[in-house]
Amino acid sequence: MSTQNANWANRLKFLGLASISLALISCSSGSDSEPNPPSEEQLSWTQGVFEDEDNFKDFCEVPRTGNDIDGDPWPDKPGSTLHENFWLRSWSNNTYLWYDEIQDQNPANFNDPLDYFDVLKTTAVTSSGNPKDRFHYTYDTDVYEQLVSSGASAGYGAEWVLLQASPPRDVRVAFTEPNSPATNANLVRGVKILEVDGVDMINGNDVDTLNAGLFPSSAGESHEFLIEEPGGATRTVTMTSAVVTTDPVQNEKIIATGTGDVGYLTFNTFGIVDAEAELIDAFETFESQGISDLVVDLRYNGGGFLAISSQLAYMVAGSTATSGRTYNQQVFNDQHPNTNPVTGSALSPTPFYSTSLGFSVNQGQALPQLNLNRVFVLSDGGTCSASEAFINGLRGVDIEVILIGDDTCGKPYGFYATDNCGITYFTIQFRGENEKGFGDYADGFVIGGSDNGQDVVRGCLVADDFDHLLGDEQEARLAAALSYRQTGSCPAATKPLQQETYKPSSRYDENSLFNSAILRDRMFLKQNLILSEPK
Amino acid sequence: MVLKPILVITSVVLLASACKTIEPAQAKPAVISNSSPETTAELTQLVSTIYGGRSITLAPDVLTETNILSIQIAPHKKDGLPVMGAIQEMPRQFQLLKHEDDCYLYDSQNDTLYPLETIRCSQIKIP
Repeated sequence: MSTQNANWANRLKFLGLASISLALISCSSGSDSEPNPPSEEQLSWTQGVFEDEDNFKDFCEVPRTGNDIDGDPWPDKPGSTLHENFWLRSWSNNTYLWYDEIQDQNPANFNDPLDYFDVLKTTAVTSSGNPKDRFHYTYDTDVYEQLVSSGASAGYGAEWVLLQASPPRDVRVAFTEPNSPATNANLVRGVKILEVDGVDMINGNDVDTLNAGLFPSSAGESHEFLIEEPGGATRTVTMTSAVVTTDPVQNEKIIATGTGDVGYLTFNTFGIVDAEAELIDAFETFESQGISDLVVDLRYNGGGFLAISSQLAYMVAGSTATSGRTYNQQVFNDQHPNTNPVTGSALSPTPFYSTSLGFSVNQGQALPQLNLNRVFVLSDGGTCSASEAFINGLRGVDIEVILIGDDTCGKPYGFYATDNCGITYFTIQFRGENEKGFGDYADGFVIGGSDNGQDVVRGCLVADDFDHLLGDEQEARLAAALSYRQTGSCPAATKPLQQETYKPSSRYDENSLFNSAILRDRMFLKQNLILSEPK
Repeated sequence: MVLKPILVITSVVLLASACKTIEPAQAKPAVISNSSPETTAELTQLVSTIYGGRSITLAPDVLTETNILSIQIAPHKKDGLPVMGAIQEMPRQFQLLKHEDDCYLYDSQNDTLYPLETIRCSQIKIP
């Protein structure tokens, strides 16, 4: 099933490796005449007046040589920081979702494009007091454009969760990847890290050593860990990082109950092509077994390919509920009601895909469908983006979603990574809306006792349970879902509904309430956050 | 003295093969049958060359269970969450194909077959 025919549009040619460089050389010559740099007048700031961003694109303070990711020469031309700032200003005014909330400031007042980019966003806050825009990023393009085979990364294959980032720190294993150094070292969910390379994880001062050990930068690094097993025993393990392949769908199973079979799967990322094949495999089993309910565990799923999330929604809801209806509609700012300003193509909704799309399964195969009218989703602050689109898309066609766990991250937004002069910029450019035109969940999907049809979703607040494996029927969140299914109410031991929840992406924002160290210490922190110094 | 004629003959063969064309049906989907660090290194070098010399990380088991090799930008995280949480585009895909006893990486974007030296492969059936 996981194969694909070549697109034989043309006859194939044998080409030796020696020819590649010749081909590249022949392709890299013959550039067009250099465009004229922007005039002095164009580099003069008039508040509220914006030149076409193309007039400033690729005029760089330090033009790059070499090739881009497609093997083409970088388009950089001699320019200046001012050129780069004027491009940022015009580009933001054209494509930023909340362009009319940017305070227009003179680009000449900023000596670094990164500093200027920082102010090219809204300063508004949501109703809960969080910054409206928590996703305003940059990367060095060389760093951002690292290439991998889908799912490959250097590490141990252990997903860390920082229950408490500041001393006394609490770092646990959330899950591990099969055939990984972590699995080979018998690390399991719930294992607590006590020391890294001799440095005390709980109260130690050497944060650099702790981070270097937890997050190796490449394969072949060996680090020693003192760990505490879930039962309390301690042992020392040495792990050597390796290139690990992520397994996106794990623990798929069918749970027999007195009121019908319940399907369960842990789904950790939409961002790997194998997810398509693995989801189809799982749902074919669910379909053949005639399950009556489904629990999709998205607590650690931060998103990925939107099309795969559409396929997942289709497989849950089936063709009758989804045919001809919108899964997700990109909405840009009001200057672009009909056209994607980045691609130039006409805006059209992402449908509920009913067939395979060629990620890892040959295109055009009909997907299994469960035709369920409700689904349980295990959620947390790490449930983000394409995972939230899954929730929103289903709610848009009146499939009930019951959330068990914690509020989701709140990212109904997206952007196109855009390089200029060696910096890749991420500025929010669109919002995703469902069939009902709803996409306003900047504070996440909030778990409540009732459902408002928008961002408040019926469900139960249940703390993550590191004493049980994911997929274990005794694991608190899965157990709560199964209990809710039977009784229609939340288990007594669940968290109070009004508990304030942590929003990971607000942590470093100066305006965030969660920037308080005291609050942060009490919050549930996700993996990959930099450990903080002792107080 | 002997080397020079051999090099000339070898070059002729390479040039001849560079111009050779085959019918599409002659090459079939395949998976690697002798996966090893050496075969992964050859694939890594080839794909890096296709991408203009960029460094690239391949999983050690690529093309052993499927004939599709998907290349994408490594997932980056900010504050524990993926930067690109709603990816709109398909990743670039290559395919492993077999013709007679030879294995090739096919790049549909450039419509080019790249011959592989150390990799042995087995034809697989397409459902």
